[in-house]
Amino acid sequence: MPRRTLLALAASLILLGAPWLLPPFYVGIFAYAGIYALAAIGLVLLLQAGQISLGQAAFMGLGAYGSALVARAYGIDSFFTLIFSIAATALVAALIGYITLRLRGHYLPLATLAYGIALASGFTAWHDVTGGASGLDKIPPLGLFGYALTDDRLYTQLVWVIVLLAVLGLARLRNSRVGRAITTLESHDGMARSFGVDTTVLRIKVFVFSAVLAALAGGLYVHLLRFVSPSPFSLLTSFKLLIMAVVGGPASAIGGVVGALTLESAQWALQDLLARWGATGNLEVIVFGVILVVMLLKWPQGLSPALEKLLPKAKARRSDGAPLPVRTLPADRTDLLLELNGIGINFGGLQALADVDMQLKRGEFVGLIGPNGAGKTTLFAIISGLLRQSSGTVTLFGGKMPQSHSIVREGMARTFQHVQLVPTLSVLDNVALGAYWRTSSGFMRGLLALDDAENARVLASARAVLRRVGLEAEAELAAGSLPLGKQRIVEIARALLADPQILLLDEPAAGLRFQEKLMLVKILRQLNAENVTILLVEHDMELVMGCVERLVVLDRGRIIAEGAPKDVQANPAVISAYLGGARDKAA
Amino acid sequence: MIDTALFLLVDGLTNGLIYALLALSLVLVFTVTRVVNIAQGEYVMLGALTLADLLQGRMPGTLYLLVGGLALCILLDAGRWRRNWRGALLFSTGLIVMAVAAALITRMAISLHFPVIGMMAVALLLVAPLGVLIYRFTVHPIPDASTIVFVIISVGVSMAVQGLGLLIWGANPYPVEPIAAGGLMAGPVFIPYQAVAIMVVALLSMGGLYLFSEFTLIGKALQASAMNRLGAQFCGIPVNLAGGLAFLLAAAFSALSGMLLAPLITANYEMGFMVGLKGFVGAAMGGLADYPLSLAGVMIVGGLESASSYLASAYRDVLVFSLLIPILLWRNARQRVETR
Amino acid sequence: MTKLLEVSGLTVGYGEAVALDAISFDVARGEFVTFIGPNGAGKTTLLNSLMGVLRQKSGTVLFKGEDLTALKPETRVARGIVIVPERRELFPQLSVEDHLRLGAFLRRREGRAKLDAGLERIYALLPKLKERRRQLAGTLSGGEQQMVAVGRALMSEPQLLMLDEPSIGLAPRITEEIFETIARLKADGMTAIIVEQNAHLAFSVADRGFVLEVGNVVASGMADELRQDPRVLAAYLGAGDRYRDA
Repeated sequence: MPRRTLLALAASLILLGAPWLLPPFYVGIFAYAGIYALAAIGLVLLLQAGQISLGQAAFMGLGAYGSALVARAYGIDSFFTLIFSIAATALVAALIGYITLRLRGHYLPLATLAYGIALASGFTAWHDVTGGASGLDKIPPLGLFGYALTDDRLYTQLVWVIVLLAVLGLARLRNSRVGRAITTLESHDGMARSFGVDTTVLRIKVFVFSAVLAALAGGLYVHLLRFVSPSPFSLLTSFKLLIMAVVGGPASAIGGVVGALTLESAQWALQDLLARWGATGNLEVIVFGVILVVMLLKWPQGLSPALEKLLPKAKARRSDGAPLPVRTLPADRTDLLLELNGIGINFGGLQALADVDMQLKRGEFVGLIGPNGAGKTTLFAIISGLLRQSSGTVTLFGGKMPQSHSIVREGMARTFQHVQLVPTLSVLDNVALGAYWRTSSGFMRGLLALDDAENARVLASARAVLRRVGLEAEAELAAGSLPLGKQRIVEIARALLADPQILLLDEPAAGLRFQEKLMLVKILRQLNAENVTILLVEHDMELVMGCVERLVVLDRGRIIAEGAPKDVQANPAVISAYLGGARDKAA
Repeated sequence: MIDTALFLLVDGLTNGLIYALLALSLVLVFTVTRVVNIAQGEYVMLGALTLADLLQGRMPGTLYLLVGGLALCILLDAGRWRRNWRGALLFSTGLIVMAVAAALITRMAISLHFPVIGMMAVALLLVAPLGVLIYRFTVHPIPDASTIVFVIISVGVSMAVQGLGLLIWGANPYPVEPIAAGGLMAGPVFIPYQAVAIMVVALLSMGGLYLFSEFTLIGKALQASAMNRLGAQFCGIPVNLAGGLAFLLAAAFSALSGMLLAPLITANYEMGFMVGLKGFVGAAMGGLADYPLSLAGVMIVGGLESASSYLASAYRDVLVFSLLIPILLWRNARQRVETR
Repeated sequence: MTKLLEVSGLTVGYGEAVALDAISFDVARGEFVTFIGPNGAGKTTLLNSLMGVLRQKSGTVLFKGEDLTALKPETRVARGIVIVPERRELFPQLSVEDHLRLGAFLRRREGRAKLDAGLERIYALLPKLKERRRQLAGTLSGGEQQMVAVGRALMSEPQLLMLDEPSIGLAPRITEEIFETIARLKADGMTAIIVEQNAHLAFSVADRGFVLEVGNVVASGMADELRQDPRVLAAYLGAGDRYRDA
């Protein structure tokens, strides 16, 4: 059995056995640590998706109040009310997520703050139902068909079973199709969309799942304490959960557990210490505040990277499936794949492009060049579907340009000017993202590890592509550790795994050394021989002239020349565009 | 009917102007440093409680914070001693002098029984530098961090400062004298002098900041740093100092608002946080970057608060904070259009 | 002639990528030196690194004998180096005159009279700015913004002026105006480094030139000789066929 699994089993046994070994006073603390860990794990998932929430405790509150109030008022088994409450919270979260997740930058945390406070205030304000600030007692314990879980030790064990299941599920999710997509949400939104990920929907799913974990935690809290009040679900708790997630580290779900255990023990130790000195009040917040600031200044990744270094490596998932089906590219080189007619675009008075007509036929290898400021990047953005033109039409594979995350399905994939790989994921996992649109395992299948067969096929195809570009040996390495030249090839491999008819390359040679550029040209020639259509934007003229069959030259937003490299090099209009006019100004 | 309307108007205006000083601080800090300062409200608390101590003839606990912070500054500067011991010595001496001066001035103010206004000035002297210290410890080391990181950091600062407030002053509320007791009758409505003071101070502050920004070179340099940090650097403007200055002014304005607010609601260690957050709701209307819109925003918040309090609604806070979400959505949409 | 700027072995990169590969050159007082080359050659990287905006991986930069390596951009301005950046980096809601006065920020203690005189000198050089002295920079045309950037840089009375692609995004006529201004500065004895894509314009004002191609200097010499050099055309339009048989 792999060492990591052994360690995980040992840790689980300790955590599950602890309730029976700890003195009674500490059992309660351990239970609450587990409950906070659960909510913190949800927050960790959010952080992995690049979202912060300052309102996680509010969702705990929704879960708590929902279950407690219904069970207390109607005498329904709390097992059912808990499920009901979680479902209701999920709905609320979906609504809130739909409204707020379109907010960018610092607006999103502010929004989470807003509903966090609004909900917490709401618990106090609606005192007729919730008992207001003084809360309600006589909350029934967790129970099902007459059996009530009143033994603290058993309850604690249940809590930690749930926590461990959550950790397991999220660890599994990390290595699945959806998990790979989640890692792109923070800083690679455009790239993810270009490979078929509907980032908006995925963000909402992550948000809802995180809220579900919080609601579950809240429910478990309230049926243990058997008393419900607004104060445990206040902003301060949301802050503490955030600290747990940050201290534990967002890199892995274990971070939530580590953070919760660290913080809870620190809290009790500090309170003990302070009590002995005769101080009153929650002074440990001072320490927590300082810890948060120091962690962010020095170790923004939290403790889990250090932990990961100590642990043995995780076993890689199976990659021995049959390769995914590919589309066969017809050999007909007269097929018109892409057509631009009269493309123009205007940025607030500045005409960046005007009257651009271009065609791309199957199997062509075309280069787009032009001096700085000519509009190449803008034109490329329009062609790849990221930017909408002001005038003119783009016809892709005979139809209109689809929405940004549906383009790859039609058969166009691209690489990026600044490499958009997820640096912490392996090369294999990065490439595997290319197959996102060709597969379908969703969130639940990823969590419950029901996606084994499909995932094996994806990874097998990814390996095959890596073999094709000569990077099979680097498959397990972290993408961020590769030199730039190889990273650019990995991007090409990822684009290939999307089974494209057209490959768009944005300055693939930028920053490469000569040997790396040679390798690049070799691969591109090979692909072109296999009938892949390639459109290239590049500044290294020697490279472009040496490998494309046709050039399109842009200057000041218009096409000034088109043709074979030799012809373009000798074209006086092109020379003048690059080097400047013939007029001489004496100094 | 008109009486209640006028009363609500005055009340809303007063609240709004308190939050206006907060919003001013938030916008100043955000535009110059890109920090969304969730901890801004804590200066309100510090201002109020420092004043409370001074008026009661006690050496304020804020002095400990100031001295401690300056000491930490000297400690962090330790690396410089090897490279440039003259500069480091000058720096450390300067800070020690500042600490001693602050202590002496405070002692003098207490012995001489300064009037309320004088004590307010002393309190400002003690609290405003704390803003610079916080900047030095949390923003200066990582100037290029994302706004999200700064949000989380300011959460930490808020927790720490609030906890320190609790440690120094305990959980009890402290009474603070108003600048002048009593008030005047404006028609059917009674306006406390404190409310008048609030209006005057708020308007003077906004006016002063405006004049400073528009008519002095340093003020223009501050604006420049906010609009384009790189461009400002290319002018030789020390952008780090600009950040420190922004934090200093912001702390001063917030402390001032706390001192003016305290007589109306009593001062305690928790008062700052909510005030700060409500200032946020208003400032968010200007996207944290536009002064006039932020002013409009806080007036709306002030009005909403007045109306809810009058209606004895328990949902006052729920309403005010729920308001933030549509404001953010609106600003977000506008931002998208502007950057395209 | 004393060497104002001495650069040796300057290597600058972004993470893994190498944008400038061990560049060495110097600039004497009163000289105009130009770096030309196609986009991606590393020209802007060079100026950004000399200004302290980008950290260098290795190499030394001596200005008046002092090593600039650890200094922040605002400190380098204090030493006498300024830049007219490629993107101008103006303050949209401040007026033209505000920009000029901020350009003289480091000279603010010299007294009203001296600063006003400096202001009038800039207005004499760039009369269009005087016309629009109260106009907000965000509302100016591209050429006018470029003039503001130049004026702002000159207000600090620099010893070394660096211009990053002054012709970019400008119509030919405006570009001529800008280069006429640059020629006047040269006549007045300014020392400058001009980075340009437009080789013709660059050679019209420079004494010496360097041709950059993907981070390396591939040709250098007096401007008059370089103008006719076929290596210039090759750098822009790619001669050589090292990739033919890859």
